[in-house]
Amino acid sequence: MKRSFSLLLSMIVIISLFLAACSTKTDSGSKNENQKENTGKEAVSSEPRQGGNLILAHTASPTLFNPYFSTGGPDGTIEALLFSGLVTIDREFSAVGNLAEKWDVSDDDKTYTFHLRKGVKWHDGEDFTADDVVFSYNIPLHPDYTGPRKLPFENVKEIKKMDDYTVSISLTEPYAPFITITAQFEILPEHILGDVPMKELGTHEFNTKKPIGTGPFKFEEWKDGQYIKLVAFDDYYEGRPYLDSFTFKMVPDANALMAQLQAGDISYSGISAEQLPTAKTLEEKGIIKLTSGPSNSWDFIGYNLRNPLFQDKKVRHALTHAIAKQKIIDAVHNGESTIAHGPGSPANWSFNPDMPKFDYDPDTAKKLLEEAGWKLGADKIYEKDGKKFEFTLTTTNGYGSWAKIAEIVQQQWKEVGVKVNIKVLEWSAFYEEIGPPNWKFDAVVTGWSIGSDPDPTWFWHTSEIENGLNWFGYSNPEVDKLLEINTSIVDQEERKALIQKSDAIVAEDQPYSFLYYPNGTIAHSPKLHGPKYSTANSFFEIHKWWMEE
Amino acid sequence: MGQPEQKTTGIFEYKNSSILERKPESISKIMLRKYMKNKLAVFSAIILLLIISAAIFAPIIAPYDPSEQHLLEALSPPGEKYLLGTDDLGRDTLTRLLYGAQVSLIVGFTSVAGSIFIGTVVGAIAGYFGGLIDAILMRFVDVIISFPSLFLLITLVTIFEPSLMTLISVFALFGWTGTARLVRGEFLSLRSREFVLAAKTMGIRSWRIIFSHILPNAMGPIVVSATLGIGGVILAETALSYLGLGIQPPKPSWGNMLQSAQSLKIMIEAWWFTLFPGLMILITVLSFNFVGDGLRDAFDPKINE
Amino acid sequence: MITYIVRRIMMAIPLLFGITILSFGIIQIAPGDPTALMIDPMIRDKDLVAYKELYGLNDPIYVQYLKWVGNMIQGNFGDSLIRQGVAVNELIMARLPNTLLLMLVSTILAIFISIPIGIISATKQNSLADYTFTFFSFLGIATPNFWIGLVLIMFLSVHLGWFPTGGVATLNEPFSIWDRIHHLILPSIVLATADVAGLTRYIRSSMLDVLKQDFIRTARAKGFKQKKVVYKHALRNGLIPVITIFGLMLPSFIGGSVVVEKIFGWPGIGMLFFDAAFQRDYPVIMAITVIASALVVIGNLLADILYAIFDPRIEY
Repeated sequence: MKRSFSLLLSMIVIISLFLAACSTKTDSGSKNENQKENTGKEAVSSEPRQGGNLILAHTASPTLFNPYFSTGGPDGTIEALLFSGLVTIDREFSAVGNLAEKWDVSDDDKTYTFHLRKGVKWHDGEDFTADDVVFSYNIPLHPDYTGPRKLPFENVKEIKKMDDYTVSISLTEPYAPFITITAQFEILPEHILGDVPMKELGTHEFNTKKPIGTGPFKFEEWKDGQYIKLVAFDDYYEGRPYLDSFTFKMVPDANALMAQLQAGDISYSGISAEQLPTAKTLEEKGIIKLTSGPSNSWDFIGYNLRNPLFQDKKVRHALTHAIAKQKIIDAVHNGESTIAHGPGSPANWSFNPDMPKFDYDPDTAKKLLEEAGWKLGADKIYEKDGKKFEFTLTTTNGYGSWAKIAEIVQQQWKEVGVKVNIKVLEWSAFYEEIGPPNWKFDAVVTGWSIGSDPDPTWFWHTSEIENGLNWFGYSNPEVDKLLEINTSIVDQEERKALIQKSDAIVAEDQPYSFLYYPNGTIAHSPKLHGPKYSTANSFFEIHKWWMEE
Repeated sequence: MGQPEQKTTGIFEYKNSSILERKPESISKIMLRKYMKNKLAVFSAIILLLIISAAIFAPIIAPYDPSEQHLLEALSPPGEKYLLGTDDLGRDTLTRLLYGAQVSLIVGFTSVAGSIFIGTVVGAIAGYFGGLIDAILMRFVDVIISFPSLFLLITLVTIFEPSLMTLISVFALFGWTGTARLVRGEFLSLRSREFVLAAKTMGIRSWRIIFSHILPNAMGPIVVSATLGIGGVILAETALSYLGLGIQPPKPSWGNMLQSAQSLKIMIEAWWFTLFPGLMILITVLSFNFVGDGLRDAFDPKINE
Repeated sequence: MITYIVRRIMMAIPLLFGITILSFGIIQIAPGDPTALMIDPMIRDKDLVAYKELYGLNDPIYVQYLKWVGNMIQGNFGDSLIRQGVAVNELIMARLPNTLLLMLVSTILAIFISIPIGIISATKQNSLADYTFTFFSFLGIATPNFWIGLVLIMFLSVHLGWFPTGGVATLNEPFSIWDRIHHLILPSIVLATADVAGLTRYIRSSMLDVLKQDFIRTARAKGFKQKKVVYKHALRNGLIPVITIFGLMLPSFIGGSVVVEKIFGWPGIGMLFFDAAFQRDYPVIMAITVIASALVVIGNLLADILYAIFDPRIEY
């Protein structure tokens, strides 16, 4: 089993076209699934067959294949095919065994003992053992480590080899995301990399030219700017994949991607919201099949709470009331996303469906603004103490629909009497202005994507203002307290209650105008059997995917 | 250095002598007559005047507000309500074309004005003084000319935000080299003419000689290259828009209107969305080219009436 | 002649030096570095310090420049900031042949199309053929390049399926010359379009100039047949200026390859450059601007030398 975890959460931008997957309600074993899918119409082709080449298209190029050094983008997709971690997550974001068959947790929640699978081979034929695990998990703990992944291993005290197939990992304190985040990090081969000085590991040729893993596909070649080709690994511990090869093809942009889908040059690809109408037309013609579901993310307009303009909660409520979210969804997402009232995602187990709502209601919006001391000026724009209600809405053209959303919201706000100027920046410049330590913005259209653990600390905790993702300067002591304990509670139901409570408080505070929870869509060739959109793991059991003649 | 540009200097000799013998108007009259004979150039000039006035009077002519959305009527085909149809946010294409003309023409004119200014100053200084100053300035020109301009544009526009100001400055700062070479050439051949030498002996200052004696005589080629340059800038903005680095929406420019129309579906099902901005670019660039050609012929003494 | 060539080469050296300063200088004013792309709550800024040190991003500017130029003189453009552990040289060598191939083919295409058209337009001045060609070359000059490319892909590739939608070769197929040619056709046509249009105009006016000159009139008066006059005398003299024009068009040609490569997913240095600009992969950006400018300098050098060889009127 494999997964597509590469980041806990990352800007949607980075994974825009390849929304890493999502969940379906059924979590049956995939054997049944393949049959279920096919018994209906095409009984003839329902037998899996060996062979076929999958070509996945993506608009971004991978950089390197080593989970301790890669920083996102599509690297994780390929890492998940080449390597395996101790555990992986199923479609409901629960950890299931991968290289570890099972694991025990000590009573104080501080020690995890992993019982490793026997008979697992590396792509070069060597046996996988506990030494590989000890080696890999010690990489981020090494003083000379130059990679960016120290944080997930911060609570790790010691990694002990009990015997060749047992490893015990002790933590400094209970940490709920350990199993879904840290234990998912892929294991690297100790017999190849064990002697490499730590300083050179990040630039070692293993990462780009000859990665060796235990995953279902092994590395064949990387044609720069064109494709990366992986071929089936005969000795994969769950059996050789049906597919002969998996090719990751780089295409220049979304339009080229659609053209190639239509021409049948590619067999698998993520579809962005803007391309959905085109994709639907292609589906009607029988050229592709689509599979979709809620992605684990949310888009929003965030307000810079350092700016006095937005410090009154009533004003933020008013701004949200003035946004017709459904209109936005219809205009830019073809109606395919769900209105959002607060943080989180319906794809996630921690989602709170009962958060305070601030529905579209221009009259209430105006009323609230007046209560906050604003008066409608002669030019139909609100003013207070001689200053107009005017600010800049910044966004980036890195992700197709945000600039358009800015334009729609600009008009909707204008209708209630708020004047907005739009500023569209290229991605790096956008981050430079919005992120720490500049925070040079009034309001921003952007989005967050949540990882395999739903811990919301990154967005809302006061400690994340200076250096983290809390760019907007949100701070609420009650939320801080809830978030601080959330990661120490291993029981999922108990933790869920905490996160839901915190999310509801945030929704009431409206530091953002939450817009919608986007749906993710994957297009694939009708001949390819097995893909199912899953925000947790889109390549779930890829060794069981197969291609018709 | 000598005077290798014999061919092109004829006009100026003629013009110089005219300072003494004839009223200056007669030359412009001759040139105007020559220009008027070129039907295509005249026609293009009229088209350009129409486009420019349409752009200036856009707020009066335009049936809608350029950012006014009618989401329920997105991608409507041309009809009575929307003469040229609507775009994907239901904005009137005709309105946006008119306002887009403003932006595209402003970018074209101001960047070319900027680059002509820089180019003329650098070229004049280099050509007039010659020697070391000339050598240094011209090596600098060589360096900039050797840069593939699109690479420079991409680098600079990704570094700074792609705003109107950035684009204009970048076009101006890196588009002046051609003019500089041209002006330098003119100056090299003009600076040893009798009237300049005469001015020098009369003790007139360098800058006055440059600006009131030599420059007017070099205006012809400058005007021609400016005219052709505007079309070039409009095309370059379009290319940058294709790369996502042109004028950013919601501000309409012809380039970004064409860019947002890239998708296959729109190309096939909403042809009006892409056709009209494309046509405007085509017509405008063509017109600037024809006008430029007409001016070149009018300034060229070798071409008889 | 040889001293002329040597002198021209010597003049190119300070030029290349100036190019390195400009390439480097532009990058220095850029805000942000590649770490902007690493936004991830699981990555903290302080954990990126090691990365920045590893790539010398914390050194003073002149140290960075000297290190860079020093390595470059030895033929080493440093390491990519994004593709960690991969040398810029390696990235460029993987792409440069594709770009050169595309440029070579479209140059040949441009020459073979524009010379006959230019000649016909000039010899049959004001004929229907002349007007038609003139019309189309202006159209070619005024139409955005990418637009032609997109339309061609849509109709010829997607709708009719005559050509591949992009790339250099079909995936998962063994190498075949025909397959490579098949992939080359559309991109080289699009890249050649703008140049054909421009070149045709130049050749036409250059030929017209020559045809009016005395020695052609004399030749005609002597009773030479029209064709022979044109091809033997006028052609030679009319085409010499085109060599220079070609050198001057080189920068826009190389720049144009960015757009064409992006449209057709052609894995050349234009695409590499475009991605690097967005990712702030400075060593790659600088290396490509230097290489592209050097190509221009060399191209112009060749043009000058060719000019000197072909034009008997120039003495050294």
